[in-house]
Amino acid sequence: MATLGSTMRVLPGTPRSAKPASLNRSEVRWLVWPPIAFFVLALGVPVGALFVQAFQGDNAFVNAFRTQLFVASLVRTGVLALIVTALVVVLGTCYAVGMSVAPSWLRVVLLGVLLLSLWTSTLVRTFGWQLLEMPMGGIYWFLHTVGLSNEPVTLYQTTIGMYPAMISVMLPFAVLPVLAAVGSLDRDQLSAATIFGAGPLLTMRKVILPQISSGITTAAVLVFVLSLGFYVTPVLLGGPSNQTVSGVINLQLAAANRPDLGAAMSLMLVAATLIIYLTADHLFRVSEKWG
Amino acid sequence: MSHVIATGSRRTLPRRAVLSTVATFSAALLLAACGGSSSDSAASSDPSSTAAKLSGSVVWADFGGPTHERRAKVFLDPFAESTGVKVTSATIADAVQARMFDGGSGDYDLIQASVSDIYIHKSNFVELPASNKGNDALPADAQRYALGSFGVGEAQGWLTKTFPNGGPTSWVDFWDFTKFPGKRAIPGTAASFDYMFEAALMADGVAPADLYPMDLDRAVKKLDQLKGHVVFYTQYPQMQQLLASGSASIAFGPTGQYAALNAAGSPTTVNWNQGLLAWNTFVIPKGSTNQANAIALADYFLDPKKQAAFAELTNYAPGNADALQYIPATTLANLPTAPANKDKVIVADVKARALDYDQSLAKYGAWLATAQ
Repeated sequence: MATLGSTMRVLPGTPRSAKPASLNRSEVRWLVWPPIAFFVLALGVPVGALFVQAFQGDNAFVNAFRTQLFVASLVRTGVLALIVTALVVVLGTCYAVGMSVAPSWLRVVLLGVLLLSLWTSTLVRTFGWQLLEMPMGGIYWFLHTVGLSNEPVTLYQTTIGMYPAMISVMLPFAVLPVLAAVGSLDRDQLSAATIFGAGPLLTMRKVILPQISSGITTAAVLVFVLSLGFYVTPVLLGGPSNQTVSGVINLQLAAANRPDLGAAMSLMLVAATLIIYLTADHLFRVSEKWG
Repeated sequence: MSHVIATGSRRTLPRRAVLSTVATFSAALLLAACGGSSSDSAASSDPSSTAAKLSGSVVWADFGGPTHERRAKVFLDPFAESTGVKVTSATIADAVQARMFDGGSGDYDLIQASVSDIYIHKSNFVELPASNKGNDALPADAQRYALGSFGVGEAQGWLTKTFPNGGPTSWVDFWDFTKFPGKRAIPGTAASFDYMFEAALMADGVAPADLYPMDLDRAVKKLDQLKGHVVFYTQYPQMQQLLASGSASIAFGPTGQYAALNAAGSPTTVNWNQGLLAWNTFVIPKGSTNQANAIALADYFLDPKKQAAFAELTNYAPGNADALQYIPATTLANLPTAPANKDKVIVADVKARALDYDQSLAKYGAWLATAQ
């Protein structure tokens, strides 16, 4: 199909040096400045302000670790992020693989539902889960109608209560990278595996999984890093006894009036996230998958 | 005109069209301005606004919810209309409140406070001028700093249909989960520990007369018995949501929320026995930037008829005794200061609470972190 670009092909007989006017390297360099400026303004300035705020208190970094609430929240957030990542990656892989073998109408529906969920505000989705999890909420109504239970459900403002909503919020972030990897699977290999007599499980283990493992790793790292800093869902569903790091930071700034502690905790969260990402990048070459 | 366009002079619009458009617009603007100013001058000659040659704005900070809506309807909106001062409402952010109470700067011009706050931070609040007689319901040494006072009942409440044969009548009953099943709705933020310690002490058998000074550790031990049986609310209107959805069977908090729930169509019952009377008030911090407007608003809040209207809507006691004559008998019976309720309701010792404030805040915050 002839497009505008194809007319740029060099005509036979034209000397190589007469290429169409394009930018050479030194002229291209100024194009780097807008993204750098954005990076400095959007990330550098706020982080710098946090540093200034943290050092205005005395020993804010040390005092943050002395706060029992902060240390407990670190453990809780780490556990939350790990478990959510594990569950979401498994579910997301199943979802993506299922999507790829589904008939095209079903694939459209599944993708549409996923994207609709992604584009709906997190607060709205979390509030929906709150209505489900309340002691006499949606889940209780279902169990009561089916006849399974008459007791009010203990999910709201508990540790376990945070997980279903986190999983549903993180699922799109896991499905999309794996979907991209599944899309580039070689279908002929699947046929070959069947011809050679491999059952579905063996095909999955030996043919599919190794090829999409990079997509799975990307999904895992993305979901883990997002879960570490996630604020809305754990705060609304976990209640005051299940504070995550972001909830504790908010407490310092909004309730305790200790902006220096809040700034120190924020910087430690950013640093931890960076370290984890860089480690994952070193081990699994995650950044190459971004494109 | 087509030959003009063809020669590429599209840039220049026909001059006559531009001039006539500009003329029309400016004429319209002038007419609008004249019309507007004539209606303004009509308002400024209104006798009710002659007292205030005020302008600008004032920021009012309270806890929002139905109480705020009623306050806006009775006091704030009429004040804004009659004086022309723009009243902006804000919901209190604990950090800003703490900073302004300590004498720092902030956006608020009037902040909701308890009487204990006045005792702790008196030097950082603006004293009302002598022309403002103050709220006589408050203790004498707090009156000069307080405005817009209202007596909040803090009591247990539930939907009438939850316990049709009678609900809890004391704090011991609140802790009794076999006799009165269901979860309890209690405050979920450290700064709103409110009267949880008093409730816990009374449930543990302390007589109301011996409550103060409070044994906080004993109260926290009693609070531990609530673990697993509570739902927390972080904003007071959530009490209504928790009760109405059945997620909590009994709530403990300001009685105005029960009045609002009742008005919304869900009959509620309030247990006044061993309830507490908390005088809430407003202060003008020294860091306020609109002190003249704030003081004018303080004067506005003294109107006895308006105080009566507010009491009718919220069932909170008015700050001045001369408002009581305008309150109908049915509402009077619902106030925390009503004769039927007066003997059951305990008046909190604000001075003792002021001394215990930091400890109470820390202990409740620590308890919340382990409460599930």
